[in-house]
Order: sequence, then C-alpha cells, then structure tokens
Amino acid sequence: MDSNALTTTPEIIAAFRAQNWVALEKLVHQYTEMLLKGALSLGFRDHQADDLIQSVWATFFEIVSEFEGRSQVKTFLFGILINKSRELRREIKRNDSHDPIDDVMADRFNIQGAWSKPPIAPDQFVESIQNLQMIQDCIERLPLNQRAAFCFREVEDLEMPEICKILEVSNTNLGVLLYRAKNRLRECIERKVIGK
Amino acid sequence: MMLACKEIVKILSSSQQLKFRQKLELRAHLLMCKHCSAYAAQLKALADQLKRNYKELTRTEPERVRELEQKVLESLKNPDSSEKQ
Repeated sequence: MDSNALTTTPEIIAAFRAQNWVALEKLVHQYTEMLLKGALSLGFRDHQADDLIQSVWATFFEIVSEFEGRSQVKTFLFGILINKSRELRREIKRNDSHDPIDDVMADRFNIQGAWSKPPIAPDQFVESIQNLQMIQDCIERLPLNQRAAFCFREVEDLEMPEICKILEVSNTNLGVLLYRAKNRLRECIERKVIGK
Repeated sequence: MMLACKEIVKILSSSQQLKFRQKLELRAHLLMCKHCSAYAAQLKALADQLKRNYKELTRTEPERVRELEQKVLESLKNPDSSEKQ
C-alpha cells in the first residue's frame, strides 16, 4: 500500500485545498486509465473520449466537497462519466419508456409463454459472433444506458448494486436494461445470420 | 407452477438474484427445453465474445493515458486557461 495515496474524500478535499500536487497527481494517475477505458467501451473515440475524461475530472473536483464519502471514488467517477456521456449524446430518455425490443421479444412466444419462434442453433450463432465487425455493428445500435449496463455487468464484472448507483437506476430497472441490451444484441445477430 | 419459456428468458437475461427453488426450476427447465438452452448458450457465447472484443477495443496506450493525465492536472493548476479552444 502506498501511504501517500488519497483514499478517502476528506483526504482528497484537503489535498485539493492545500494544492498538494503530488497527491493529486497520484489520484489522477490512479483513475484516468480506468475512465478512458470506460469512455472507449461506451463508444466514444479519440478526442471525444479525451475531452470527456477531462470534463469528468473537472466536475469531480468541482463537486468533491459535497460528496462526503457517500460511495467509493471509483463509483463516484463512473457516475460522473455516465452523466457526462448522457449529456454528450443528449440521450436523456426515461428508462421505463417503451422500447421496440419488448415487442420483438413478445412476438417470439405464444400465449402460453412457450417459444413460437425459437432461437437459432447455438453453433450457428457462435460462429457468426466471431465476426468482429458484425458484432460491433450491433453494439453501436444499443442505447447508451443499455450499453453501459451490459458493459459494466458482462465486461467489467461489476456487482449489481454498484451498477445501480452508477446509472442511478433501481435494481428492477437495471434488470430491464440488461434484458433489453442482451436481447437487442441477440436479435441483431440472429437477423444478420438469417439474412445471409 | 412451472415457469414458461418466456419467464425463463427473462430470468436468464436480467441478472436478478434467484431463490434456491427458482434456481432448481431454472436448471430443470434448461435440461428439458432445447430452445431455452440454446438461448442460454447464445447469451453465454455473446458475453464471452464481447469480453474478448472489449479487451481489444479498450486497449489504452500508456503515452495517451500519461498525456491525458497531464492535461487534467494542467487545467487543475490553471482553471482559467482550461476552457476549450
């Protein structure tokens, strides 16, 4: 453990007030790569991603004094990243609004809830997702919240309660986001396989 | 009450915590239903593949990270000059 590392928010606030650059540089160093990876996985590229990270840090230092250790620094930063991403995309749709993927899924089951249009064979599916371009195409079509939920859960392996905090959604809402993200991706891939 | 395929699909894709009985029911259903097990296999394959892709997609060059950190610290030291050109 590095005894000079800033781990709690009171320490960060104190370092910020005292303009302790050594400590602040360490803090920035500790989290910038994580944030950049986050921005990249949300689909921002190049300068867009860099600008986003800079504004995340600017906001972080603006509001850190009100933050009072309510959650971990990492969670706090990811939360700001998500908010900034939303602003950047002007995608502040409500989470519970209607999503066409729900109709698509409903259509695949009969009235008893059994499959009426079963999924395609796993080997066919697996083969097709090895095509990087194709899968990327499908990911680009996901709304930001769904994409973020999916990435945090399936790629970063974050726990559900932490993702709820970052995205500011309830556990139920997060379930809906994951359901929609996964099925959007599946449907998109199936359609490409069948359309071949 | 047996769960319908539609419910199984909801459970599989929404990452909710399951009670012990639900877990058993889920496992039994997957053993009996080839469509739902195909569906589960799709989700698994999708997650595995995307994990691999994301490693590639989110690879960060150390110089880029360093440069970005310097920019952040610069604008922290000189708040007035941090406005975007």
